[in-house]
Amino acid sequence: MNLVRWSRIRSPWVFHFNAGGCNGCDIEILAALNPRYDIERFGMILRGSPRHADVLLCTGTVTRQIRNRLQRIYEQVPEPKFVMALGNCACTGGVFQNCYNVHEGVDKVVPVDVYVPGCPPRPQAIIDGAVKLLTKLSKS
Amino acid sequence: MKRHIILEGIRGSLNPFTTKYPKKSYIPPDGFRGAAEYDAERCVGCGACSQQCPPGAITYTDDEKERKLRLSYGVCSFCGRCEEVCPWDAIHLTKKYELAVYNREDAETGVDIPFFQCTECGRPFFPYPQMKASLEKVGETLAEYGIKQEELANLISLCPTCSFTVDKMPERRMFMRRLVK
Ligand code: SF4
Ligand code: SF4
Repeated sequence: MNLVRWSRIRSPWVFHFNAGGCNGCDIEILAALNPRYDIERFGMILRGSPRHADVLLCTGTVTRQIRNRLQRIYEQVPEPKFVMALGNCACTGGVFQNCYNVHEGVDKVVPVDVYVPGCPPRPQAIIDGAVKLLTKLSKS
Repeated sequence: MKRHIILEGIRGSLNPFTTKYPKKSYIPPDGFRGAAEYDAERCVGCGACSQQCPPGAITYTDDEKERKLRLSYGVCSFCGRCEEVCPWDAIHLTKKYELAVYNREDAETGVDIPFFQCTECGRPFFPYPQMKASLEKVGETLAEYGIKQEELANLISLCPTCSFTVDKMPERRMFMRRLVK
């Protein structure tokens, strides 16, 4: 059991999903993945399919159109799954708050484990969020 | 293989390119716009920052005793407009960027500004520090008109309901007349 837990904390594979953001946060995720910041140090590898992932890295205020897709993708991630809301739009809706076409944050659709504010969050802030998520995992 | 690739490889392994971030803290360069923070000593509670904030990250609620200013980092776009407009130099963007939280409501900062109570009916109606700071600011100009600071202070220490009554009006009129030279 401990081995399973250990491996879970050491290799939280991520699936990145843009739920209607401006791409700013997505570019910062790429920066966090590149050798300079190298989020792979924590075992975070970007996967192409939600079925391979443990963590759903979600950016963007959830638009009405993408809501069902986000839900479906969330359901496809195998248990136990964790969601990281990246950037202000994903946290609260940010500058798009009160727009007619958005859901104001990922947590309105799927449960979120850690919020990373920033517009966009710089790579260090993303790493900080990842570390906080891993701390939460190791405590749970 | 090309020589420069090998050299690059050797250089890379001797001096790693990857930052040591979580172990070694990182301070962003000057001019970085991070989380905004209030200076509780200086803020007078005027609410100018809340009026000007483009995404509406700063809100305030008035209750019985104080004005509660709240800045939500989850909404803030780190534009620096609040710092620009604050007439009392009381809000500043810091270099703080590690803002990740587990609950949406935790990512916020704020100050509580006490209210001034009407001297007649006791109703709180105006941020106390703002009244004090404004009086100090107009003190010199008042002196030019031969008006003492206390006179104005007495006049504005009544809430709108108490000051615009029939028996108070003549006094106010007289005061206004003194301001028109
Ligand atoms: S003094 Fe500055 S920080 Fe305080 S409420 Fe007014 S504008 Fe905002
Ligand atoms: S930095 Fe801009 S968005 Fe953030 S609180 Fe100040 S005015 Fe609002």
